[in-house]
Amino acid sequence: MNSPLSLTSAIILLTIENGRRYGFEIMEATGLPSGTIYPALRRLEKSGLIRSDWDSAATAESQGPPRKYYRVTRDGKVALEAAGKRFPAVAQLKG
Amino acid sequence: MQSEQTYTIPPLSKWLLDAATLVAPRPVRSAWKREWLWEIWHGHATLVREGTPPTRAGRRVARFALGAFLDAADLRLEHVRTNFDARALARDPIPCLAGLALAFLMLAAWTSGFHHSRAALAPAYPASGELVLLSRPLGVLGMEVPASGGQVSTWVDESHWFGDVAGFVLLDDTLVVTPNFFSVLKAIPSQDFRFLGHKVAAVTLLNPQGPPLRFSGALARLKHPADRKAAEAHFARFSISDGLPVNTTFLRQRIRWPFYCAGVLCPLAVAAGMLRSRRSLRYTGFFAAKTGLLLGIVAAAWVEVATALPIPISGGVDPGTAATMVLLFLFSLAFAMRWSLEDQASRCPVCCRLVSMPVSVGSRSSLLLDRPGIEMLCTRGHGTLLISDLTACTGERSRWTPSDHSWQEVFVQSKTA
Repeated sequence: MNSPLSLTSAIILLTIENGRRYGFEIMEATGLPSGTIYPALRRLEKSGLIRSDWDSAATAESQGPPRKYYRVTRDGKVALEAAGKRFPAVAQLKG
Repeated sequence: MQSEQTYTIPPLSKWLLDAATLVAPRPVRSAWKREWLWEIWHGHATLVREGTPPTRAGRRVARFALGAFLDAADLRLEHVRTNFDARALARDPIPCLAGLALAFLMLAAWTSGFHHSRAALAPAYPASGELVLLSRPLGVLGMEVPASGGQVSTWVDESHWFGDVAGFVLLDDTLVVTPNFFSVLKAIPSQDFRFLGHKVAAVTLLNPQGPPLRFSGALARLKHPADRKAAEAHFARFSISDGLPVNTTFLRQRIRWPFYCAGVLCPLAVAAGMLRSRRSLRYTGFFAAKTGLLLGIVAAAWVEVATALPIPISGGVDPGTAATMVLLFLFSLAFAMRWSLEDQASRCPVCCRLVSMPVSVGSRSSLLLDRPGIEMLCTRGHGTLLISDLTACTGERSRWTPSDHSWQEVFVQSKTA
């Protein structure tokens, strides 16, 4: 049983769920500093709410190095539902 | 051309990341740095692609790279939390000594460089051999029974042994004294003045016109210091006109022999034990350093705590002279010494690491040929330690069997695996 999500974690989870898959994108979308985003992403991944992988398609397109992307797991979606009930702001953003 | 431009990583961001990498834990450092580097590259490329001027994009990415410090610190904390093992810390000799040294330094910082311990070794009162302390004995539940002012003068009048006498009253941290008090004591109150083990924050003179105070005791000086033994014999018969008993004793210096015991006897015991066991210099040095630090911590902590305790003036003149406190001090030293010896007995004589992997050996049905015990192994393959369940004599505690060189290969492989 995971402990309830904090508001920051819930917003990050919601941002990923809304299609922002990369760390830099999540930072731009949420306005949170990178020093908050990356540790939070690591914790969310450790607790099984998100999963990360290397995006080979984006790499081929940009001819740059590989890039890590995140997606919400089934447990993450359940946790997001619970966070929506706990934080009305998250529920509103979820719309 | 533009594509080449977007592939670059701004130098400032790279430097920041290089610095932050030092904070990240070593096992995951390179993977972590690679991930951040690539993220910076993509972040910068995205900004440039979106039309952000390169200078501005560089600044934004540098701000982004600053977050790497927090991320690395978070990773480091997580690494420490998951990998911290106090037993493992004590297992290796260097972290064990470093831990003890750190504890010693923290105690030194907390006690302003062992202020009270240093004071305990300094003489408490000048020429205390001539000073006699007169006080009422302890009453019910160790409560002190004060004497009246009239009694103090009677104590002197009735004896031809005493010269000048000075009365005093201890009120919490204030010492109220008769005007001749410091001439009898032959000492000037310093900033950290302590009297009979009590810390004195303020000294005030007794006002003869004020309300009568009940004295805590009196200090008297012998008329003829050479008659100390004769005076001491007289003390037992000493009485005053009101018939109430009076404690009469020489004002004693703090007992310093327990400190000297700790300082001289312990190293001697260590040296004797080491010579008998014929261990290596490394093993002996580690034991001496560990024991020295441990005893230093215990002794200093004891003195600092003891000086903070309120000691009744007639019960034990000073923490340094109170017999119970001295006994406690010696017991605490003995316990520390015992722990140090037991810890040392469980260490490999070659590398000083704690032996591990206990395995039961022997048989209780064959005490003579196959004695039961626990065999433990040095993780570096230096040998095995057999701790017998049944000892034939008190000196027989454990038996060390060194491994021959053929085992070294196995342990080297297991270390690198």
